[in-house]
Amino acid sequence: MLDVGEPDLQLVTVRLYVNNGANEALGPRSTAHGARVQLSLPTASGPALRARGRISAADAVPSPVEDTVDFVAPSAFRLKYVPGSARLFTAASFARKGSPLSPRVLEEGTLISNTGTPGEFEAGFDKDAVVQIGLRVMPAEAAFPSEATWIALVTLLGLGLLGAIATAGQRRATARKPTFPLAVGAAAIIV
Amino acid sequence: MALPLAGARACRRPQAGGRAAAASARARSRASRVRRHRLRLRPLQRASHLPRSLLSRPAEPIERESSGGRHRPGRWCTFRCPISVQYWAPGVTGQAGRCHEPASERPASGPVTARTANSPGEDHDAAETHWDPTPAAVTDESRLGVRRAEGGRASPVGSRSSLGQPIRHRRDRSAGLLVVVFFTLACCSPAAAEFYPDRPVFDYQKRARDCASVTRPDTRRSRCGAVDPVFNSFVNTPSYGDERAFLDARSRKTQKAELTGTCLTSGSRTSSW
Repeated sequence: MLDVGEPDLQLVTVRLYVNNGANEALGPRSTAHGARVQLSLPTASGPALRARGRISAADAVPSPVEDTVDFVAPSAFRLKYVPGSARLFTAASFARKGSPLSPRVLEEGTLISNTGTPGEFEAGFDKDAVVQIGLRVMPAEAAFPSEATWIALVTLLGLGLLGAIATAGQRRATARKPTFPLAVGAAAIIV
Repeated sequence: MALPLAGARACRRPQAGGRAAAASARARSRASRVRRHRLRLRPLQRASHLPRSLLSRPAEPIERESSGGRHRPGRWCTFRCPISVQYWAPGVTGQAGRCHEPASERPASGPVTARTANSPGEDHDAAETHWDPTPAAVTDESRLGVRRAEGGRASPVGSRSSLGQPIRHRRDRSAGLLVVVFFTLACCSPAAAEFYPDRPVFDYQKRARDCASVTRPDTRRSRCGAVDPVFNSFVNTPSYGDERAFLDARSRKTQKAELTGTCLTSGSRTSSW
């Protein structure tokens, strides 16, 4: 759990540690294929939010594995992804300050690799990786209209609509009465 | 034109009255025939398994069956279910209303038998207050069309209402318990949800001599790891500790305060944080 304090656009870094725990002495069998990471950010706002990280692979057992991290603040806030902040750090890419990751890491997930082939993830403690994602803590948007205001607005609108329909119906009824005999008289004269 | 009509009406009135009288006479004779016919149908009237609407005169008190009537050949008999089927219902306990007699004290026959086997002089209500069927039995009997017409009482609906109450209370209690369990789970599950799923862990501190031979017992759940790829299932690792909690977050302020050096060391590489 992370206390982000007052939401004043500060930055928060989320870290996702990835390690393939297979026995590397078994050779290629221990390599995971289709390794993918995903971070689910809360889209709502509130004083406590939870993000969920997920790591999966086609041949990993179990798959996926998940973990959560909680954010708390004294007032309601929301989390926003900082574009371009998702990066993958491996032993090979560490010197280059990591390799950029697709923003799809926040949607359906994106492939990661520690070998160069996307999705391949070898076993070993010296081949673990870290995914870092930057988030910005934003104050919660003022909810307008509120639920009560919204209900009142809809009710007023409905009543106004009903009144308009009733008035139109009355007008039509009053307009028909004089026109009908006139039309009948005109038809009789013509005939 | 009006007068002949009036005359015709005046002439036809006695005729119409005569027709009505003849019709009523025919109806009376038909009714008497029917009544005679109905009188022959007394055994059918005694058949309590038929709905009352099928009987000729439901308003009349129906003749009670004699004690030996059911055993006469060629007569209608009531349907008898096995006792266990008739008197067992889920949720009915010893405290449930009038059904708290032990099984050993119950009569060997079912409620239908107990009522129909009474002698004409016996009070049927007494038998019913002493022992009522469970809703399961009532349901079975209702399905079979059983109506207890003797004495004009003891309809299955009445039995159901008298005994359905404890079951309803029990259901209410069960529903309340379910609601409590649901809210408890709903409240506590977010607090308990950290990592998922629960999976076999491998202890980094547990050493093995030869990781290449996976058949050795000391390689199980040891630093050697799993046979197949598995993500973040190690505990007690020097670089991360418990890998199952692989997601964390830090604010930039905290990060700046901690960025005096490196905090993630894993084998031959380090990662800045």
